[in-house]
Amino acid sequence: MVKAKNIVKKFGTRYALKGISFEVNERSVVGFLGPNGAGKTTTMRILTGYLTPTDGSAEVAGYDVERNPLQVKARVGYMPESPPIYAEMTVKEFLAFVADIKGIPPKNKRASIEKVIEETAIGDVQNRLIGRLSRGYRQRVGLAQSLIHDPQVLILDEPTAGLDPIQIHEIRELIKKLGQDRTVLLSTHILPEVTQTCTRAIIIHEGSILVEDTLSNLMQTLAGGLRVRLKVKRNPDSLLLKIQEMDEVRLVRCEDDSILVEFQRGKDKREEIADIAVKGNHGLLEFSTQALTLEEVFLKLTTEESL
Amino acid sequence: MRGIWAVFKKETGIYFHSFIFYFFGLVYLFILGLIFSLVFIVYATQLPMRAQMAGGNLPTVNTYILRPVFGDMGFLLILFLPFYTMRLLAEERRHGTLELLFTSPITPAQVVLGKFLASFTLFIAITSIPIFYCFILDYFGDVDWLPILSTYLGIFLLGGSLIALGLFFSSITNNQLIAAVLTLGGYLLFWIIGWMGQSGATATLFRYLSIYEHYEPFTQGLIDTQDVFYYFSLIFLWLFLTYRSLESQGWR
Repeated sequence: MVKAKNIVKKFGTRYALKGISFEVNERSVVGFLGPNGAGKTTTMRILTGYLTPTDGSAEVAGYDVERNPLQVKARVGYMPESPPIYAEMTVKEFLAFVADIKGIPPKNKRASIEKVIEETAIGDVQNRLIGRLSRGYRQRVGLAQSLIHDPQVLILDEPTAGLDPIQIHEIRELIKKLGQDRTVLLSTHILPEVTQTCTRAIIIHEGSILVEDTLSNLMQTLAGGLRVRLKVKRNPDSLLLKIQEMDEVRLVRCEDDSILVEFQRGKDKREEIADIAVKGNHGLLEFSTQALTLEEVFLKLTTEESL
Repeated sequence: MRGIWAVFKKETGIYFHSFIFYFFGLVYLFILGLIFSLVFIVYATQLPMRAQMAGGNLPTVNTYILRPVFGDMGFLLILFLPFYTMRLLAEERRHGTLELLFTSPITPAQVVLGKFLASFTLFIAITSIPIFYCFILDYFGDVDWLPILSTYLGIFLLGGSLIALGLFFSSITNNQLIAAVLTLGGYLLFWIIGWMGQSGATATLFRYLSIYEHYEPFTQGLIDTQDVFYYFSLIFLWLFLTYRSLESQGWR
């Protein structure tokens, strides 16, 4: 649905994108993750036809962004980081204008406006001036304008920036719902956003893609190996020594009142460890598998790169 | 066409919501009304004397009232139009709404034409109000309508080219005040350029470029195709430059 091939973007002498390539399939929510200034917004602006790449090409919904910009724009819904709104218009007037410029036929206009008003829950402010709305409502209006022409691809730049926790939760739920029947590409520097809404993640840093995979693969691959945390009632120190003697264990350490064990990549010794704890009468209280958090993956990747 | 109409509707709606539109519209009409009243009073008080000097023939209201008023109307446009056009694209750039327009299936040419036509239409509406002065004078005296119509054609052409120039300067910055100052500078340059050079080819060229030199004949009831062509060329040139300025957005 979205294909980027070796996209380079230069602003003056500075490279904002250094040749990035990726693909996003139909009906998926993909997170575009990276620190501020990584090149997320530039990539999104190229995919929506707002900026022209210095080199490389992009294809959205089967159309080349440079050769068929109008075809692409008719199929993409885009919400920039600051919602593009006219403060002096009412919500309804604004959506009517967006419906016009998105090419919605007059006979479907009213229904399209009512549908997005309902989807984004802005019915109670539809006749108010946008300039008088709260940040959360403005964000929703921004989302509503991106959805009005029922686009195949939805590109959202930092969709929850500046919202309160309840609004963030609501917007994330909406994005998940929208991803069920269309392709959603969202950028963020907030990691829980990706874990809570996306199926895949593309991690970008200083204009290059560091890694692209499903969230579970990403965390498994980068974690180095499976991790378990166990808590025992008696003699944790002797248990720690016993585990250290095991082959295929990469790391064992005490953390608070628990023991953290990391296996070598592809190895799983959970059964043996549980056996040792039970047979050694250590009084096993807890035994859980720990995944490397996305924060850890992200930090690991971006820190390694910048070193 | 659909895109132009959508931008046109939005733009006229925003003008009607904007304080600056009403403020400058009212001040413009007030000053023009004041000039008309003063010229009318002077004309009325000097009428017997002038009639005596002219051997019983009354001086026409066209020559003594309407021509000076409409001549000043042209100059007043130069002072007021920069504030009328400054927001057209600078505001879109500042508020990020240019991104909305350029990620929608409409072309930069449609945006430029929609905006130009919207501000030109409202300009026509405002500048048509003083035509009531002519009706007032026609009630008391005898107004020669042909020069009035030619003057209006001149005002519309002059206004069109000034709006197109203002639209261009509004497209190159996101600061409305800078757009207004640049526009005012451009207007004044085109207004006074005819004064440069005394004689010879340079002076002829400067006079040809002067926006005022081409406006003057319309106030005298003269419609010259050269003047009409000049204003159409200016409108086309500035709209084309605005289009190029917006189109280059993708390379910035």
